[in-house]
Amino acid sequence: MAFNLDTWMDEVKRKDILFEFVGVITSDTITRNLDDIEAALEKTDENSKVKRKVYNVSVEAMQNLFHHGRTVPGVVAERFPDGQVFFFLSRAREGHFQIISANFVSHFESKLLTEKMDKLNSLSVEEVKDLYKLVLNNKEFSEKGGGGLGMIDIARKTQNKLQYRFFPMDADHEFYEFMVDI
Amino acid sequence: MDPIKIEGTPKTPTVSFDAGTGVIEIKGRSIPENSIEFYKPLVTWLDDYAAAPKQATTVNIQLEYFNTSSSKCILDVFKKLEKVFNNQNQVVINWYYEEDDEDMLDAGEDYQSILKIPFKMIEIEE
Repeated sequence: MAFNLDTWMDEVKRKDILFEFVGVITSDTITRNLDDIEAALEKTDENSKVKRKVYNVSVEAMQNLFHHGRTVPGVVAERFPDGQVFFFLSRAREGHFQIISANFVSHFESKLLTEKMDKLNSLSVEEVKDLYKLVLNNKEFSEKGGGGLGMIDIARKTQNKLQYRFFPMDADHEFYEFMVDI
Repeated sequence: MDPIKIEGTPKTPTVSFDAGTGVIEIKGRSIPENSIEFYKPLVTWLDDYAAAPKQATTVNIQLEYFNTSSSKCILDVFKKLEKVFNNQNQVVINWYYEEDDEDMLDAGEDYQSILKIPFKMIEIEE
């Protein structure tokens, strides 16, 4: 069955959503989104340790969208020429949150992301920590300004497996859904 | 050398670098999308400071949040200070973290394990 963006959104929205953003991501929208996320977390009765972790992972997930969420397939570009990204923060139960982010990627990016996440998911907590330090100390910044550390940091802070799905959009693009439990 | 004084914003930290006192401080949030732009002048200042540093330099880092884009830049700051330390000067990095913030303590310990400068991990009450 072909992927349907509206059906996907309906499915995601069945969760207990604390914050959602769908649209064009800029530095200013990130600032506003992070303010809103902080305010939404503040309203919960979670302890500060959990809130801080959720906020931290939100920062990285949001900035990953900023650096990589500019690709838009033709079918979406007609409606959103400047890009379109998706971000949802939901609360499963006390102390348990989930972040779902999504954007459009090329087949090449999909292959790279799959390799990167599979590799991270195969590592132990200690190995993820060691990889973080290795990349922190050695890796130069990419042209997009990312340090290549965002995904490693999310895996390290959550200590959970990174979940992902890719859905074909058109001949050149896929819809990339990223999910992590906190 | 002129000191650096920068007021914090929701995404960038308060910075105070003073060559006269040898006190270097970064406090608050460091979560800009592209941190190179923010940290470049700080790293350049430290290059000049390393040429004629105080005999004792105190570095206070008290961050509430920092993103991975900043983490590499903060390491660059520390590497300049490591140079000062390696030239027979005293340098101590005071790494402040809130009492239940294990992630911030871990981050400080990462830097401590990469660098050869004395670190003091200082727990603060929320």
